Amino acid sequence: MNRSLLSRILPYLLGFYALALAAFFLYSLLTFPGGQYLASLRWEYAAKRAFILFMDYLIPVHVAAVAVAASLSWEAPRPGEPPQPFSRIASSAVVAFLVLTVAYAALAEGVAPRTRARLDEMSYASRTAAELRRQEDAAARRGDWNAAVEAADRYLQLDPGNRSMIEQRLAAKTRAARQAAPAATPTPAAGPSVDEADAQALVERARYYVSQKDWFSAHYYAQAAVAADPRRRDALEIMSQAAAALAAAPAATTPTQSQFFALKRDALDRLERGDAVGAYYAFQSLHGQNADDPDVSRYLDQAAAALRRTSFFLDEARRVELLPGTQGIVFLNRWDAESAEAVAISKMVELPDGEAYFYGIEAIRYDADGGVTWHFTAPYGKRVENAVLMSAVDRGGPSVPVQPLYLQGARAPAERTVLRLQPGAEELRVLSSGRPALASMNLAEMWRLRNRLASYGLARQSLGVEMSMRLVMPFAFLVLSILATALGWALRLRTGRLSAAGVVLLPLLPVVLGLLSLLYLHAHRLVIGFTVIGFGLSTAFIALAVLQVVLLAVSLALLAGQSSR
Amino acid sequence: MKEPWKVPFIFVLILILATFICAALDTLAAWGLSDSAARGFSVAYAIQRFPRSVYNVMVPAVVLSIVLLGFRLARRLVSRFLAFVLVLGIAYLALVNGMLWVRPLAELPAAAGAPAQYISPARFVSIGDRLALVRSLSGNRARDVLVYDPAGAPARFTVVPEAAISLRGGDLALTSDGPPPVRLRGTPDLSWSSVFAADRFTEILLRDVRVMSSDFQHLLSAARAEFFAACFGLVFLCTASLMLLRLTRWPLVNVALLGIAVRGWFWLYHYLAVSAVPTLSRAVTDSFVVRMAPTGAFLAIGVLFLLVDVIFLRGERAAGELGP
Repeated sequence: MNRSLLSRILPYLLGFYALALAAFFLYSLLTFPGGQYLASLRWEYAAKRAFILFMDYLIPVHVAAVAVAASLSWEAPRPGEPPQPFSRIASSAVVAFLVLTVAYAALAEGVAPRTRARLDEMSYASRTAAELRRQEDAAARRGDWNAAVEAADRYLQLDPGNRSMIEQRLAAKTRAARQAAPAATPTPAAGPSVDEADAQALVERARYYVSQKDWFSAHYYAQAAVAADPRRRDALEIMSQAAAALAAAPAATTPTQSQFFALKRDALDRLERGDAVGAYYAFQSLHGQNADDPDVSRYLDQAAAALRRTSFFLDEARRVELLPGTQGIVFLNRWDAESAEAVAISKMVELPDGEAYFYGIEAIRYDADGGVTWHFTAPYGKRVENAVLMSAVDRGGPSVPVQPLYLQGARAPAERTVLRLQPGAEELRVLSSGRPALASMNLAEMWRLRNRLASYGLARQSLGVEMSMRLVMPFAFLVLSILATALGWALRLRTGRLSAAGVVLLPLLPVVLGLLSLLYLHAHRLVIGFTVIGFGLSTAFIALAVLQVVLLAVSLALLAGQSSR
Repeated sequence: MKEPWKVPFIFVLILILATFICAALDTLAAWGLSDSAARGFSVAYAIQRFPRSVYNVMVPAVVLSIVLLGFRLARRLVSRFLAFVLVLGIAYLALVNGMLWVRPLAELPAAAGAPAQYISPARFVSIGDRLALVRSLSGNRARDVLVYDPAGAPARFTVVPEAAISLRGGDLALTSDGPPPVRLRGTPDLSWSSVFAADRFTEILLRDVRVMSSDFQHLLSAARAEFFAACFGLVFLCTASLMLLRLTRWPLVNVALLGIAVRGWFWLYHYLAVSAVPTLSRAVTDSFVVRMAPTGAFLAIGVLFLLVDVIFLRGERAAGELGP
């Protein structure tokens, strides 16, 4: 036998990998859960699910391929020719196993978690689409064609090629055109904030507007300066001067101008009192009456900026609701001897600019005797730094704002629509309940989370074992590859060609070797679980390292003990 | 020393190694699942627990030893009749005597299970589809309990001042009269149990092994004659199954066949004991016949295997097929 073991093993490996991938793809395609996923996602689902299954069962498939290849690799030496030492035959295969182990680790840690996360997102998007289809149908039945078009548009964001929905949308659009469409409203941009300027700068701006006879602006900035520094007498004087000018001004105008002026002054009063929402709607209404008024345009921007500090626009939250996000977040937000606070968030959508919106928020605080201090639910929320704002307003016009509904108790008015969160943005992402969330994380994310997990009410042991198992998998891949080579070689076929019975029974090998591989991994899980619970993660890492070295040495000794005769 | 004389010693060596490894893993899992919440791991604990683990793993360890010994015998030129008798006799003696001797040492009460295994203060534990979190746990009473039900409406969170927690048939149950009343029941997860959770294929295998082991232990304490018969039936079938190692000229496939067969025997026993016997008991009034049905099936299949071996298979492989 002159050929290396590697040249024999490689074709089998590629063949087994291809067959396994094809089988998993076919299986995923045939078992496609149409009730859970959109029909248009069938092929993507099948490809991704097949890859996940391939990664889950790669070790058994690989072990079977190696064992079969090694078992069929033996060739009787020619007469008079001495057999090569087995170490020379097998050395290239061991090097190849090392390379494959690195590739396996890269796939398992790099690609597989992202693929799992994408499958979760596809499932969520499909459920959302089903709900949107239901909404579209309901809206069409009751003749609300604008709502039907909106639902159809949102559905088509998820399933753009759906012909029936495209046709339904066209029909709804045609009918909606006959209904009165709401007037378009201007979209104010976020204006500069008076908070960003100091008192001196505000006074200077107020003086500038005095020189321009723009008494509204002068009054606004002077009042902001006083709020920043109540000792500024110059600001107080400007305020007084501007107030007098504003009080005198309407007398010189027509009744309509006078009314408009009074409304402007009222809106400005609201803004100065801190009623950002009221001021926003008032200035928006004035903007609708006179879009050319520079005061109104400027203060509409100011009011919108002030509004964004305590609230957010409902349409912004609704627009991104369908984007993929993290689902099922549950955690302890606070825990001490007197009380506890728990938070549940159905879904969190993060945007590239760092903003994040929450959907289906629920929080509860209760004391050590089980008495509920407060308990609320809120349909929408927006993350601002380490807090979530839960007051959502309609951009189009004054309406009842969407705010938290207190089921029990209440909080101080200033806190009623805001909740401070202990977990950071990254931590929230990985606080989904259940094991699938861990499967969607890579090792680096797990490592970052490990210390703070307990304070959020999650058991650290699961994370420790999952991390350890992830670390063990590449070693298991390598050790089992070497053991499979030794096993296959020890049980090699010595009678020449493979019989028909051998070919028929070949599929049994992956089954049996797969079961053995799974038992091998389960034994590791027991050892890891024991060391993590009993002695902590660091000790578990050390114990695992020692165990892997021993197993690697044993497997190499078994391989080296084979004879090439 | 001639090969037949070595067989008993090799079998005992394999059995000791197999038993030690399986029992050690059983001890680690038992501590993690049942005792870790109440006590730390120590040498004293391991010594106290180890006999119980040996008792638990004796049946699968003997089966595994028969298989491993079969691998060796398949590569040696030994009379198949002599090999059969030797393996059957030694394995039977080892199984029966092993269980008889270890049983008094394994009187450690089986872990009854306590809620504390699954529930730690300030940690969410999943019970079925829902989550629960307690402030403190004293025996079976939990205080200040938060329940999260993802399908709850209008609220997903519920708090009750006190709740009773119990373990029934592997399920964790949490009940409180409230207000508001709370009833949870399901498989506990997320904490200790998920740490040791096996994949679904391994879990089914372990379930089948557990059923067989616990049945044998029950027979040993309740019906000694039936225990001897059951042990014989199992060992007879496993020994007869070694003929699969000579079924084809490809040793690797033969080994795979034997592996599938042994896995199948555990599944068959589970099926007969859990599904078929209760059905049979409705048709057959003699309880002895009903209880011995799995053993009878094992013996019948073993005899069938022996007949196939005698009639269809060659006695020995050529030296060239066996290798050095």
